Amino acid sequence: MRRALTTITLAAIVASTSTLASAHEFPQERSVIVQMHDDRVELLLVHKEPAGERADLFMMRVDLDKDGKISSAEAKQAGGFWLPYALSGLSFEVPNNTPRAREPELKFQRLENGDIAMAALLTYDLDETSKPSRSFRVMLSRGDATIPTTTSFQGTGWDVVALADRALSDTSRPVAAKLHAGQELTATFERATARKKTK
Amino acid sequence: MEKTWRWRATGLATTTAIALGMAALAAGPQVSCSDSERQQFARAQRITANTQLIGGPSARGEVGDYLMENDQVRVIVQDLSYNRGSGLFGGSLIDADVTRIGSESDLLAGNGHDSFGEMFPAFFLEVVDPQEIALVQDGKDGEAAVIEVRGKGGEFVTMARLLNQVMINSYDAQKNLNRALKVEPPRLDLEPQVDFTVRYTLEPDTRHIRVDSTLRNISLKKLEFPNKSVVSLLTGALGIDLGDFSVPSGHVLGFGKLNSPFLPGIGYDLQFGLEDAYKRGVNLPALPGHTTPIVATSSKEGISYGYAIDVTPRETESLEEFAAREHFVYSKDQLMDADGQPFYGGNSAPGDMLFLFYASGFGGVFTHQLPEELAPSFCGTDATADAEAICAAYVGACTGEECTEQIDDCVTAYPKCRGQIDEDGLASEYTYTSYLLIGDGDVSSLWDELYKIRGVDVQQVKGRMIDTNSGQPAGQGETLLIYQARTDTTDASTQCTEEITDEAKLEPYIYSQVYSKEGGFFTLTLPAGTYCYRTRSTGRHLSDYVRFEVVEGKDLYIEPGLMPAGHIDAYAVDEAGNPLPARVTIVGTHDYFPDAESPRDFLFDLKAGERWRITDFVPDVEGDPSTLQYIEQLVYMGASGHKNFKVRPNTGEQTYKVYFSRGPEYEADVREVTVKPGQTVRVVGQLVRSVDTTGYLSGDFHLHARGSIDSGLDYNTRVISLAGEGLEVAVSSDHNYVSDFAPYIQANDLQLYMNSVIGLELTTFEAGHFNAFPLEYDVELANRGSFQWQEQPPGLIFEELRQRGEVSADDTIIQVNHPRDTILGYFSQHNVDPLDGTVTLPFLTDDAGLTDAIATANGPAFYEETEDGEFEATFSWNFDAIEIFNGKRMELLRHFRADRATLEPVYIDYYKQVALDDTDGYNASSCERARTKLAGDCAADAAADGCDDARTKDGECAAAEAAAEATATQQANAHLAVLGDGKVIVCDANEVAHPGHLDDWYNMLNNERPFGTRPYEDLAIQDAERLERYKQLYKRYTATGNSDSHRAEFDDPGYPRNYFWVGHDDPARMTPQELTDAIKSHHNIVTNGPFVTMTINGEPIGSELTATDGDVEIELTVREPTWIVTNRYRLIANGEVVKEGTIATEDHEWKEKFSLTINRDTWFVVEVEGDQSMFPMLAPAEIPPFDLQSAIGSLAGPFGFGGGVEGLEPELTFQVTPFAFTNPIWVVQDGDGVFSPPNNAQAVCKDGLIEVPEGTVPGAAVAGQKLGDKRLDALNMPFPVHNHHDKPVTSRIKGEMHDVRIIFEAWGHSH
Repeated sequence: MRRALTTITLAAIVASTSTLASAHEFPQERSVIVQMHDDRVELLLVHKEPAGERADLFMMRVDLDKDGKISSAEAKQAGGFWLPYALSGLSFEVPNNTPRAREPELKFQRLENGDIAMAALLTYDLDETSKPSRSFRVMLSRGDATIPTTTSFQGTGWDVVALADRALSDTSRPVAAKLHAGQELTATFERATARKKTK
Repeated sequence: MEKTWRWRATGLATTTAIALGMAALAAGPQVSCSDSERQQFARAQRITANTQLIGGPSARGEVGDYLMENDQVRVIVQDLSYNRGSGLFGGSLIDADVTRIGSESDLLAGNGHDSFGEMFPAFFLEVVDPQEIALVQDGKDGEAAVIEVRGKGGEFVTMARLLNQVMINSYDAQKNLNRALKVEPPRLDLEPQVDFTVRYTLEPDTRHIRVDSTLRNISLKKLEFPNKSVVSLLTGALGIDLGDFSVPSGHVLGFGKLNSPFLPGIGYDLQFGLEDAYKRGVNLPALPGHTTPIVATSSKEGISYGYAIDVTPRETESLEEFAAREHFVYSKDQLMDADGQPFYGGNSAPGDMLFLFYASGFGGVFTHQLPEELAPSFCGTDATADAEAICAAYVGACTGEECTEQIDDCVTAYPKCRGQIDEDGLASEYTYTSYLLIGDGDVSSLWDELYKIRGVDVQQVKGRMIDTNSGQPAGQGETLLIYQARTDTTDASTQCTEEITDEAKLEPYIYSQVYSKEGGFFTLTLPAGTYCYRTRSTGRHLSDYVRFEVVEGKDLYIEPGLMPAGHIDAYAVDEAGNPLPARVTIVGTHDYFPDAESPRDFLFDLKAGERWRITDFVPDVEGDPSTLQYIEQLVYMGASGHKNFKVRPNTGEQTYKVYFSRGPEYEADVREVTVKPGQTVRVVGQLVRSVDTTGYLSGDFHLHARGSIDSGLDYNTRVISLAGEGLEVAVSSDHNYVSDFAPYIQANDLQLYMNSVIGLELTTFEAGHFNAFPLEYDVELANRGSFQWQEQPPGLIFEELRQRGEVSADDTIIQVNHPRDTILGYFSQHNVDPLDGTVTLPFLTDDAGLTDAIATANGPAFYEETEDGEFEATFSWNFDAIEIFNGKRMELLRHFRADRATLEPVYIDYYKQVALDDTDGYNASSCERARTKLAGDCAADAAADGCDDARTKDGECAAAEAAAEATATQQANAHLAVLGDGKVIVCDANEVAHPGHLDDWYNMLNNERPFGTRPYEDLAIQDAERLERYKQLYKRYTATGNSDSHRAEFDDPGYPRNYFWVGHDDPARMTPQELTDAIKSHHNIVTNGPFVTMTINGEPIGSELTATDGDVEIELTVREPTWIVTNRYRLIANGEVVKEGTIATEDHEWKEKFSLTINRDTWFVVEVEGDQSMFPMLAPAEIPPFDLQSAIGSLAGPFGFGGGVEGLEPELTFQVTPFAFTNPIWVVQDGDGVFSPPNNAQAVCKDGLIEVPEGTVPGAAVAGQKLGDKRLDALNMPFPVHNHHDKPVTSRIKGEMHDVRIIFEAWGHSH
C-alpha cells in the first residue's frame, strides 16, 4: 500500500511541475537512476535504440570484427559518439557543488530483435559536505527530439526525502518518475543515520 | 510394468562356455531361513521397549522412535527429537537391516547388523524440519505399513538459507533478500510458504522402503520454482545466470563408513570418479556430478544399502516423456549445451540420478526436478466449495482484526487460486518417489531388488570362485566384479579389455559386485547382455577380465578364478625376546612408468575396490629402486606380537622389505623377504627402544572408531593399532557418540601398554568440532551421552560438555579441533581474524557486502540479534586447548605464505589480462577463432578462404599479447619489488588467504581477548569461581596435536601425538585427572616424531617464572630414533623467532643451552623440524583430501562461487617430515608478578603492503624476522585468491533499492 501511495504522490508532483506535456510517441527508451553518495553521485543511464536504420548504421560503424557483438574495446569507440546522443536533452545539477566527471563506463548490447541497448555508468565526484541535506536536479530540454526519461533517485547513506519540495512518506524506497520534454525534477536527499557496527 | 527402461546393456553376441550342469550347486544361503518358511507381513509401530530396536554397530534407534518391519527388512524412523546422528533434524531413516531370525541379540538393543547412517530428502538443499510424525497404516490389515513425517523447511547448511528460499520458496525469500541488501543476515522466524511430507511405505515381502517426498504450496499465491523475481535481483547482484534452471530435489544418503559406496561407471572410486566429473564441467541448468542408475554400497557385515528412483510414468504418457519432465538427469540430457552437446553426454536413461558428492560417509544425489509453478493448495479440489468456509478453515482458530484481514486476503485470493487449478491446470503439490534398497551385503542383492521393483527380465547367474593356484574353492567374502562389456566394439576379443586412446580410456563399464558365500558360491541376477567379470581379494592380484554372456531365458553358471595369495607370518619381539605390539609395513618396489601421472595409473585399481597403495612420494627414476617404493600392506599386531596376513605375491625378481616399528620411541627393524604364490614366509623383527621420555606419556586426544559415521572402525582394531604405534593414552572422540576403549584394551590384553580416557567429538555441522574429555559414559543412551548441538551457541555447548565431565566440570578439557578447517573449523566459521584473533561477524565488517549477508553461516549458533536490532557474535572463548597439529595436515599449521617465485607468474598473468582488456582492438575470442582456423582449415590448405585474414589477425593478436606481457612483467615486478627473498602472508581482500593454527595460537598468546563471557554463559555457569576465571581476558590455551585417525591401517594413528607430563611412565597407572592436570598446566609437547623439551631457568614447559633482571637461561633437548632426523630449531618469543640453530643428535639425543636477555614479559615456545621423509613408518600425504569443502564446492561452482588462483594455496600432498613444538614457558620480567601479553598492534590485510607501526613490540603472524625489526609481512592481492564467494559489492543501499554499480555490472547478463 505504501508503494502505491508513493507512486501516486510522484505522479502528482511530476504533473504539477510539468510545463509542457508532450504527446509525441518515441521509439527510443531512456531511463536514469541517480544514486547519491557522500563523495559522488552515480547516474546509471540506460538507452534503447529500436532496430532500424540508425541501429544498423551503428553496428556497421562499431562492430569492427563483425561478430555481431559489441566488445569492450568496440564499446569504448562507440561511446564517443553514442553517449552524447543517448544523453541529448538531459542535464543535471547539484546545487552548491562542482561535480567532476570520471570516465564513463559503457556497455552495449545488440538484442535479438535488432535493438541497440546501452548502459552507461556516469560517476561525478562531489565536494564532500557536512550538511545534512543535498539536492539533485534533472532537467529535460524542450523540443520534439527530447526522449522522455524515467528517472529514479536513491542514495547510499542518503535518503530521498522530498521531490520538488514535497516530502515523501517512505524514504527507504527508490522513487521514480517519467519526465517529458521541458520538465524538471529536484530530489532532496538527507543523510541517513549510519547504523553503528559493532564488533 | 512396461519394460521400457533403458539400459547401458549391449546386444547379444556369442556366448562363452557355460557349465550349466553346475548351476544347482551354486545356491548359497542368503538369509537364515527360506522365504517359503516366512509369513509375509508388514507393520509399523512406535517403539516402546529396547527389544524392538534393530541393534548393530551404527544403531541409533531409541524407545519412542518408529519401527517399520516386514518379513524381510526392518527400519527405524527417528522421532521428532534432535538428530542423534550427524544430520540436523529428527524424522529421518536412521537404522536399517534385513530381518534376522535366530541370531543372538545385543544386550542393549536388537540382534541386527545395522550399519546405516541416515537418509532424508533434500529439496534443492532444503531439508524437512519435522513437526509431526503420523502412523498412517500399521499394516495389521495385511496391507503396507505407512508412516508420514510432516514438517516445514529446515536448513542443512545455513549458508544456503537464502538460496534455498529462492529455489524452494520455503519462506519468503524477498523478505530476506531485503535484509541482505541492508547487509543483515536472514530472519529465521518467517512463516513457511510450503510444507513437506515424507511418506515411508513398506510392503510385505519386499526389501525396500518406498519414500514419497512431497512439497505443497500452503501460501495464498502461486509459487514459482525458482522464485523468478528474486532470481532476477540475485542475477544482478551476484552475476548468476539462472535462466533455464529447474530446481532439483533428491536425497542426502548417509550410508556410513561401514559400507563401501559403489556407483556403476566409477565403481568404488568415488573420489576420483567424482573429481573427474567435476573437471569435465557442466554449465547451468545442469549440475556437475556422476550420473548413475543406482547408488549402492557393499559390506562384509552382511548388510548393504542402495538407493534408486521410481520410473513409473503416468498412464497418459511414455516413460521418456515422464522422465524428460521429472527426472533431473534425463531431462537435462535432452537439452544441448553451448557446444551443441547433450549436457550429460546423451547416454542417460530414465531413472538415472546425479550423484553430487561423497564426504564423511554422506553422499548427495539429485534425482528429480520441481515443476516451474505450483498453485496454492488452500482452495482445495472442489470447485463448488464456499470460499468463506474454506478460508476460515485455512486461517484456522483465531480472533480479532488480524484474523479478519487474513480471511479477507484469503477470500480475495480464492478466485485466482481456483483459476490456477481449474483453468491453468496447475498442481498445488509435487511428489517424487525414491526407494531405499536393503541387501545382503553386496551390490548385486540391491540390483536384484531394483529389478523386482521395475519388473526387469533377468536371469540367474550362479557360480563358485576357485583359487587358481590350489584349485580349491574360495572362502566367504571374496569379490566378483561385474562389468558391462565395451559397446564401442563388437569384437568379442576386445570387449573385455582396456585401451587408452588420445581421447579417453576405453574399458568395460563397472556395473555390479557380489561376494562369495561359504564354499565360494555366489548368486546374482542380470538382464540379458554381454558382461565381463574380474575377481578381487586382499593379498591377491586383481584378475584379468573374462567375458560372459547372459542370454534371455537361460540361467548361467560360471567359475571365476581367484589369483593366488601370498602369506607373511610376522613376529615382533623386544630386546629380551618377549612379544610386544607393533606395526608391520610391507614395502614393495614398482616398475618404472615414465608416462604415469599418478600411481593410480598403474599400481592399483580404485574402481575395482583396491585400496590406494601409498608410494614414497619421491620422483621416480628409472633403475633406482629407492625412488620406486610403495606400501603394499600394513598391519598391526597386538599383545601377542604375531600376525599372519596375506600380501600379493612378488613377481619376477622383486622382493618386499618388512619394516617392524612401534612409534617414535623405538628403532625400526627391516627385513627383506620374497613371497611366492601360495607360500607363507615367516619373519621376526626386534624392536629396541632408543628414546627416553621419562615422566611423559604419549597421548592421542582425537581418535575415531565405530561410533563415528565416517569411521566404522571396530574398537578392537582401533586399540590394537594404537598399541602397535606405541601410543600410551587414547582419548576416544567419535562424532556425537561417546565411546569407551577400556573394555577393548582389556579384552586384547593391552593394559600393560596403554590406557584410555573417555571423550567425545561434539560435531556441529558448520559451527565447529569440539572434543571434550574425560567424560562420563551413559550406557542407557543410544549415543552414550552426546546431546543436542543444533542451533546452540558454542558457549552453551562447552558448558553442557563440562557438565558431563567424569572428574568435574572444571576438570573437563574442551579442545577446539582443526579450527581452520573450512566449514568444519570453529575459527574459520566464526570469522576469527588470523592477524589479531578478534571475532567479527562477517556482515558487520567494514567491507561487508551482499554475499557476507547471504552466503555465510547464520543462526543462533553464530550470533544473537538484540531487541534493538544489533547483532552480537556468540563465539565463546571458554575452551582450554587448541588442536594445532591435526593429522598430516601440515598445510593447516601456518598461515599460507608465498615467495616471489610463486607470486610472480600469478601477478604477470593477472596484469597481462588487465593489459589485454585495455588494448584497443584486442578480442580474445577473435584471436582464438583465427588460431583455430589456422590450425584447422589453413593447416590443410594454406590458401583456403579466410586464411589470409586469420594470419593477419593472429599476427595482431600475438603482437598485442607480447606487448601486454611486457607491460605485465614490468608491473608485476614493480609490485613485487618490495618483497625481497622472504615469504609473505597472502591477503585476499581484507582476509588472510588460507590461515593456519600455529599463527592463530601465537596471536592468542600475544593478545588479551576483547571479551570474556556472554550473558547466557554467565547464567549457565553456576560455579562462580570458574566463571570468574572464564572472564579473565588473557587466556592460555594449551596446544595439542592429534591424528584424528578414522581408520587403523594407512591412517597413521598416533601421528601427531602429545607428550604430556605425569611424572611417571606407567600408562596403566595414569588417571584421567593426571591428563587433565597436564593439559591445564600446559605441560604438553606436540610432535609427529621428535621428542623436544625446553626449560628456562630450570623450569619446565607450561611454567610461569619471574626474571626481573631479564636474564633467562634456556635449555633445549631433542631425542629421536634413527629413522627420524630433525635438522633445526626455532625459538619463538612473543611470536617472533629470536634464535635459530641446527640440530645434530648423537646417540639419539641433542642438547643446547644458551642465555637471552628480555626487556618485557615474554613467552617462549620452541619449534623443531627436519627435512627427511619418515617413509614408510609415516606415509606421505599422497591422497589429496576430498572433504566437505570439495563437496560443497562441486555445487557452488556453477552458481558462480568458489574459484581461486592456482599456485596461491598450500600444497595438500607432500612427504611427511618431522615437526614438533612445545607449549610455552611464560616469563614475567616487569616485576609485577603478572604476565602481561604484548597486546601489540597487529598487521592487517588492507590495501597493499603492511607495516607494523614503528615502536610497537612485535607480535605474531610472521616468521623469520628478528625481535624489534620493522616488518613487511603481508601482501594484499589485487584479485581473489581464496576459495570463498566474494564478488565485490562496492556499496550497499537499504530497502528494495538496487545499487547502480550492481545493476551495471549485471547488465547484459540477465537477458
